[in-house]
Amino acid sequence: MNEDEISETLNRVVPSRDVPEGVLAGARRRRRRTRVAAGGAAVALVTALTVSLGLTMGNSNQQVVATPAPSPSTNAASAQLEPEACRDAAVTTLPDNQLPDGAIRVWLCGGPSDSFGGIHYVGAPEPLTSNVADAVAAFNAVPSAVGAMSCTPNNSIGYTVVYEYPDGGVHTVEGSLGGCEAVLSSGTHRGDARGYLEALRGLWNDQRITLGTVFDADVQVCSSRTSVMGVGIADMTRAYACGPIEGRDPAKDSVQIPLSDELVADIVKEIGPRDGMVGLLPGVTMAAPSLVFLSAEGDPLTILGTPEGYRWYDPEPTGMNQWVPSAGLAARIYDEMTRDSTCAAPPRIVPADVKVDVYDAGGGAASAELVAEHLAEAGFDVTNTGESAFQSLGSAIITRAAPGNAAMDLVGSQFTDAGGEMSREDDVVDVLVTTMFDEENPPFAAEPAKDVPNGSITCSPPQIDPLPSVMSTPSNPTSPSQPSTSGEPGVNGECDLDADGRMATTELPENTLPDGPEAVWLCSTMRAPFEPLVGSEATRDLVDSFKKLSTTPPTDQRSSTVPSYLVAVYPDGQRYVVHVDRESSFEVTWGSAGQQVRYGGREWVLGLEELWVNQRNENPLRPPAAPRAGICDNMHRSLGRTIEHYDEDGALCVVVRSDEDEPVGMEVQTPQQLLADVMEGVQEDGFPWPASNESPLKGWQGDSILLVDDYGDRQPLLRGADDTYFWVDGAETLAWKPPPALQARLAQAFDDGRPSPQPTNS
Amino acid sequence: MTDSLVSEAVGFEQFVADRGRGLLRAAWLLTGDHHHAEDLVQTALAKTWGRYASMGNDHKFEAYVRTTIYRTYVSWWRRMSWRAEQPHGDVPDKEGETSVDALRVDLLRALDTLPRMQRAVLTLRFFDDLSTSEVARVLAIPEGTVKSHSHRGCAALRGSVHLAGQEVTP
Repeated sequence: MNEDEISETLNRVVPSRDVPEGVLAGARRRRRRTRVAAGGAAVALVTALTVSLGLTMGNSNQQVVATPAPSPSTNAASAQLEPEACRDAAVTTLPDNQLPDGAIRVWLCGGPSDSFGGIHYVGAPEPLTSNVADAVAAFNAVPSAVGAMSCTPNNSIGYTVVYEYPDGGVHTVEGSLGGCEAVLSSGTHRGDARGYLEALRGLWNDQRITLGTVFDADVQVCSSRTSVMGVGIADMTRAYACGPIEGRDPAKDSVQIPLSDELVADIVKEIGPRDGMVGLLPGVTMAAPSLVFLSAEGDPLTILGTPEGYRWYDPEPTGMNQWVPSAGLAARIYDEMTRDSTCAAPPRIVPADVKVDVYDAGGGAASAELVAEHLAEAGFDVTNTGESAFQSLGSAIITRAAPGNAAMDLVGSQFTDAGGEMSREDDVVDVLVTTMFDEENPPFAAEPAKDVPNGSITCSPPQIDPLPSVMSTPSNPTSPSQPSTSGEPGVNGECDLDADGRMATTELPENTLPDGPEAVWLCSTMRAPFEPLVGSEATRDLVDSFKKLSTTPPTDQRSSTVPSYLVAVYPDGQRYVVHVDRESSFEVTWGSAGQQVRYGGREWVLGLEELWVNQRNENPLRPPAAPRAGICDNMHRSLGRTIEHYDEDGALCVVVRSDEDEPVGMEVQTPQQLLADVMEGVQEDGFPWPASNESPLKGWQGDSILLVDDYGDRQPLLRGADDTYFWVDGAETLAWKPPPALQARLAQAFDDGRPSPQPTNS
Repeated sequence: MTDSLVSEAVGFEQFVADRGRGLLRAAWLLTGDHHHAEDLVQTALAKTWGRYASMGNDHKFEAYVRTTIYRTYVSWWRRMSWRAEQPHGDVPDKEGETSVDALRVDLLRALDTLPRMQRAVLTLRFFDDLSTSEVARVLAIPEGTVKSHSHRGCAALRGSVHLAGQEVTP
């Protein structure tokens, strides 16, 4: 049966009938159920998680810690390519070597190897929350493969799957696409890692189609991230060039430059479908900035700029793909990378005193005389091998002119005479033609060569001026204008708070923040980032979100006594100040009398803080050292970073009454080992606190463990009645119950350090 | 309902009436029986309905629905409900059996022996008449993989005991 016969047979035997009416009706019903379920789940989650911790300090209504916020939709755009659940995920022991039923969420992550072939593999940015039972069944159906134990390579493309259960427990398995393609859980090997991954991909794709999942966050994709979701170039909608920074490893440190939609579309079109070359592993010799593509769902694909052109490895059987960009696209990539001063190429080399007569590219006898000096002047190292010389061209970022056969013959023969060899004669010719010969206006020496890049692009990381902390203490409310006790310079005057921690708001033109602020500060006597938000994208996001504030007040409106302020500074010197209640009412007010009022809600405030967290993640910098004294003076929760970041410092804090009968924090002596044990414990054994559970912190009297991160920000862990500690991590409330021995040590330390008489938690 | 929603609903119904037959045929070839084929088409329509208005083009939307049908089919193989059931072809009574009916049964039996991806590739290539690159796009797999599945699937059909001795050409 040949292919035509197969086709004819299929068409002949397949029955033809109209779609029954019940099919369309059934589709309508399913669609209504899906939409109601998604919306209903979100409402239920919001309701459950708005149970306030309701902390009060004795008779005071002062709120010390933020209340837990509603969890965002499980399929909302994630701000990270690599979810927190994927970090440090490790295989677990399965009961009876089977995944238990009842998982509620699944994460698909990259493999345990840090990278393969220079690529860091990641999974899906969003979790699987629908048809989770199928994901469980998919693993349990993978057949066992005892022999796989002996042939699983240490270094291969792999993936990790994390299954989450209602009690907070997780089970983690790993799959490897190399060797025997085994699926691993602790103590068990199964086969068909590829089939298992395909099943998971299918479930994710189903969910994405149903929910219309999109990923539109600006995230760090450089360098070298590729998804295990099996996406191809045709799926890509965005792309970034990763500009190397001089002196740094481009695989780990580069400047991310977004490429325009038009350029991305043209690149995708030019690359087109590729069959790949079987059997080759990607090289890691970088000769041009890598390009990282992102699909609409946030799945990345990196192509590496090697001396032979761009390459990427397709873990499907086809292997490695290669693409050498056309002259036009190469020039456009170069142009977009260098359009601002972030990246630049070395000055072009203008051959001096080139000895030429007239060069005829039309095929006539070449009359130009090429000697070794000419090649050296054009930037070639004629003493090295072809690959090195090619790298000096900056690989794909060169502009090409049309070579002529005569020119190739000429260069070939002359170059041989010069004593070197080139592996890419056409590129040699191209560059030589454009740098050394002006076909329209011979002799060349009289005219400048066309401006072409020669040499690799290098980039400078964007600079953020580190500024001293705006931290103030209750005992020194005017400290924002004072030098810190460590002798560091005074803080920037943009956060000029008065004795009560307040500043005057201003009018806003057309009652909104104008576009284009140079920097935006978040100022507060509550913990606030010491640095401003900078960069066009981050500040644009802030201004855009400001425009979406609502005029509808919440039903349970309260006011916080601890104000915060956004201070937006513009290039023309304009400065606007807006008050934000980040704790209670989430009011946003401005105007000379604070008369303009909008509401953003808890999510808006969290989104605000997330801008700073993202900025820190993308551009980490070290703040000036903050004074150690007074660590418990300000115990407000800092920006929403996860607990593992708070490992720089810490202390046990109790709350005492000041002379003015105000509650103030006081540090108690904390042995370093005790602190270290706490840090290790919360990171390993923290668990989500079910929102349905009653708050254990009613009547909390103030004992807390304060952990500090590398920015000097705090994360308070509040001590509950049963010695369970609680904290807010972004949108979740988390808890940690120390083992009995550690509980006793902590209780002892609190009691020893507490001035008497003071009420205790016990 | 607003006028636009009514118009959209009417348009969608007309789309199903005009183009649903072809989609159902492909689904039948994938699943082997009308019950599962209707289930598959219904699932795809439920998933894609929301995009109908924005696509603004029945031809493009049909391609979108078709892609959803195939991708849903490929991803369903692990589903417990489908593994527990044995899809039965529409087996005619012996009394009224025609040569086409007999061929249909044999073909379904032969297709049942193929892995799902091979079956999907063969259906797209030889029933929907898509090119290799188009099949690759629909199934989100590389072209080389399409060729591989196509080659192996055809070889399996040719060698299938169910189709041995079948006169294909009328």
